[in-house]
Amino acid sequence: MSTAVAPGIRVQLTRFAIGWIGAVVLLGCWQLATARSDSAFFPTPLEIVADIHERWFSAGIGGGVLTDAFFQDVTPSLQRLALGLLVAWAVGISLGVVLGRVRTVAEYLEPLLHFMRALPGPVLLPLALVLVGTGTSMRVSLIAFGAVWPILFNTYSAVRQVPECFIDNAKVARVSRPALLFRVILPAASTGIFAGLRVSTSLGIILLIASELVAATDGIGFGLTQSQRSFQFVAMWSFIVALSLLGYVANLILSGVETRILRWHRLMAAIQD
Amino acid sequence: MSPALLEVTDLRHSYQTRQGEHTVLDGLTFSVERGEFVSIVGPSGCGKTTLLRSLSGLLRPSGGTVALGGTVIDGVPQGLAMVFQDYRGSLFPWRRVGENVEFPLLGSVPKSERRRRTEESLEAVGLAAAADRYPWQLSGGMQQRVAIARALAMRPELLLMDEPFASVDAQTRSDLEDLLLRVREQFDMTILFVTHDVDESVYLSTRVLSLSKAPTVQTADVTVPLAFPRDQITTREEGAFVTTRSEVARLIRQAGPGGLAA
Ligand SMILES: Nc1ncnc2c1ncn2[C@@H]1O[C@H](COP(=O)(O)OP(=O)(O)OP(=O)(O)O)[C@@H](O)[C@H]1O
Ligand SMILES: [Mg+2]
Repeated sequence: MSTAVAPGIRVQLTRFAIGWIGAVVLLGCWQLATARSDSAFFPTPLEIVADIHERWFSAGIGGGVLTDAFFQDVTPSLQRLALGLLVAWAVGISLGVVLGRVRTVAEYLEPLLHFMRALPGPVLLPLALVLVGTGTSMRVSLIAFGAVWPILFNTYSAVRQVPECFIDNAKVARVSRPALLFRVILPAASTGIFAGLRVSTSLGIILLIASELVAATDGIGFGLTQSQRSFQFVAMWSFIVALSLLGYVANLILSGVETRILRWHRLMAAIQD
Repeated sequence: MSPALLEVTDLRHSYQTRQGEHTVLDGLTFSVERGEFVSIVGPSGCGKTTLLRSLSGLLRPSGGTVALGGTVIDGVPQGLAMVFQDYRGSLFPWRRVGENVEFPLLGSVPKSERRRRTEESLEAVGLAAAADRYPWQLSGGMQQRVAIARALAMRPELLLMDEPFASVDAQTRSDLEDLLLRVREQFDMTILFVTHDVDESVYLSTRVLSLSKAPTVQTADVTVPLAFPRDQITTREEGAFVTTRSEVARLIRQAGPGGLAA
């Protein structure tokens, strides 16, 4: 094993280095190009970084680094996203398991669920406004409603594909129902479930921004439209960067958890290649 | 007289298919006493797996009863372990070998006892050193030994085995046969062993039952007059081995055209 892993690490490091060199070169070009132009729409990356620092991270060590604007612009969005995704994941995984394990429930619910999934999340925004109002719960339910589908259908299909022989083996061992779920079905379906988590997370971010474009008073999406309307293009870019950082960090966290939980799967796939 | 360990009475099973009812087991009656090693031989598709699934409570048969230790079973009974036909689907790929062996004990056996039994069982199949590897890092024969170790860890009174050695090479197969006879002594188990190989059934067992093609009935019940321990070379040369094997084969052929050749 160890001999097989060593070159793997070297390859990974090389890839990592190439990725960063690419990013730096790209940023350099961007800097050069924007510094030469005098279009107000395209500030230089350095200006954006300075603005981000000034805007959100300039409260000083004594002040806790984060500025008041950070708690106005970023924290509400993080809360909405986290809450919405949690609801989506909890509902999606539990309903997916039930559908995957109980054939009759699946037969009754599947057509309805496919119909509901076909509704694009942002389209429901007006409806959500009417039904749940303009508060946090509206944004959270919109994120939850939109992000639930990938995780639901991924869990459903992954659970349905759990080999029957795994279940039989567990049954002969007389394991309890919770043990069957947590020690056999969920681990066996975990690769599919994780794929669903990733897709639902990126969908959640899109819906977060969409929900913050209407009737909002804070959050990244609100800041983005505000700065755009008031022609503060550097600020607008700062919000765009904040958004992409949000997506990047969310993905990083997910990959970290996935790497831990699905270590066996990665190793197995490497052997069978 | 205490009841037999396993009593099967008029066991019947039909699968519902699109073409209608497909009768697989058509009234099987037999019993297995404590300490016996009973092999069941039958052609492919005659319902051997169906039979074992009914005996283990995984499948509710359409008719008849199965009693373990005098109690008619309804669901998976205690004191029973099973080694399945396909070792690839038996072990959980996300658990290490030791964790797989320990699996049936989780929630019912305290931790220190679990560890002791896991070590003992892996020791018994000669895989103590592989406890921290993953099943898919092992050869097929080794995986089947892990599946046996997991069954041993449950300390079953009755061990059901469904063609456990059908998909390994000949040398591994004889090694596994001898290993099975050894652990049977060590753990004092009664074994019901399904195979389609007459030689294997005679070599391993104290008694051989044979089944016809579906709809399946019993065609023979032959006692094997061979002493233990058995030896891959000398036992197979004994006159009693040769005559018993011929007897079983003849009974199978008489019972149905095609017989085991199918
Ligand atoms: N779930 C099922 N639904 C319908 N028919 C089935 C089902 N399971 C098995 N059968 C049929 O029942 C018959 C017996 O199957 P079974 O798997 O018990 O045979 P077997 O003796 O174990 O065969 P093999 O030696 O190939 O393992 C076969 O004809 C099979 O097609
Ligand atoms: Mg079978």
